[in-house]
Amino acid sequence: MKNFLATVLTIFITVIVCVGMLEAVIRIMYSQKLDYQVEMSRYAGSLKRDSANYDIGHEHRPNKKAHLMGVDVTINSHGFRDKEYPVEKPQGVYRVMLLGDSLTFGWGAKQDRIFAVELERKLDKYFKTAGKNMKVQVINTGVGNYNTDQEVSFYEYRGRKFKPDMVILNYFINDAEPTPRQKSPLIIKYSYFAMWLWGRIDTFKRKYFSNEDYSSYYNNLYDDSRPGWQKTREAIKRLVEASKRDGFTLALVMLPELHAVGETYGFQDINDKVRAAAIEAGVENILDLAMRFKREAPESLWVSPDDAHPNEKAHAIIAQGIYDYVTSREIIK
Amino acid sequence: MTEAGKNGNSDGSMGQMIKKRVKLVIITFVVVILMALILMLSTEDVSIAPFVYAIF
Repeated sequence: MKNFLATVLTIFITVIVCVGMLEAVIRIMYSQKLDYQVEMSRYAGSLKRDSANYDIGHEHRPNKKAHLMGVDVTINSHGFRDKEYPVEKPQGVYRVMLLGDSLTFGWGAKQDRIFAVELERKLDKYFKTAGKNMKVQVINTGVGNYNTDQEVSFYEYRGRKFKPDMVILNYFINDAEPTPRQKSPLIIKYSYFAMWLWGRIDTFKRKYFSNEDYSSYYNNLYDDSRPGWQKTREAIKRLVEASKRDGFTLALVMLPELHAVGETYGFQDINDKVRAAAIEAGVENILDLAMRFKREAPESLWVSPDDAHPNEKAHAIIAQGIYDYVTSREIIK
Repeated sequence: MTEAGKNGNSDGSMGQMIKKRVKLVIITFVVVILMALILMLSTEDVSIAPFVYAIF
């Protein structure tokens, strides 16, 4: 018995020492090379918190800063990755509110180069050139891992207080996922090794024990029986109703999956399905940005080789695409 | 048995025990590092993964 206990204790202490060594190795490794999963976990630990509103799920911690995916991120007092805005809309201001997820948030892109900021610059210039004595504010409310249902819930509970003149719902292919309720263990906040292990086990399970590759994963999200897609369609309808009630112009912008861009877009069927659902819900202004990227090599648009979030070049293309659309069709008045 | 003999036996079994413990430490160390390596190498290519990997 004594011998058995000594053996267990030896194994236990050795494992603890190994974990300590791996923690050190992983910290050194990821101080040189950015890892999407580790950075996303750090994002969750440093900038996100549970929302008091169940439908919103999670939100940013106000007035927080972090260095994530190689760039500085500053969250304002409202929980937006943006400069400060008063809730009350000042006289002579045209407000555009961007609803979206990590793409709108600008994951991995410098704060002053994300498409919300680019769009504000362009629209402000457009108003000046047109002789309109108005300032434009583009409010970036994007939060990583939001889906459409959460984005619309955010607008209903908090966004509408800002009285936007236009709301742009930035739609990404994974927005039909159900609202995430899973929580990671607390240790993930403090240990890089735990973050790494958690992410890799998850990847391992998906890679070897799931029949879905990423393409079929996305396609399956849009099966009419899937609750996430049903919720998404309902959320778009709720936002159309809100636009009538609150008097803002609504536009839906489809942001492409940046692995699949090229002469033909790999997920065009899904975009067509989203467009049809949006039209059915009563959305009049729909912009599909996939073809804006047809001449670009996919990798040239990514934040890093293992993270296909839009980089600053892709953000500039998105900003130009939205600007061209809202100005040429006189959606912005 | 003489005292010296007793001590000699005791030293011998102590030496055996230490050898066994060192062996155990090395095996455990190798197993943990090997498992971490296998996990790392088998999940290296995440470039085509959808954005469902984020942890909250």
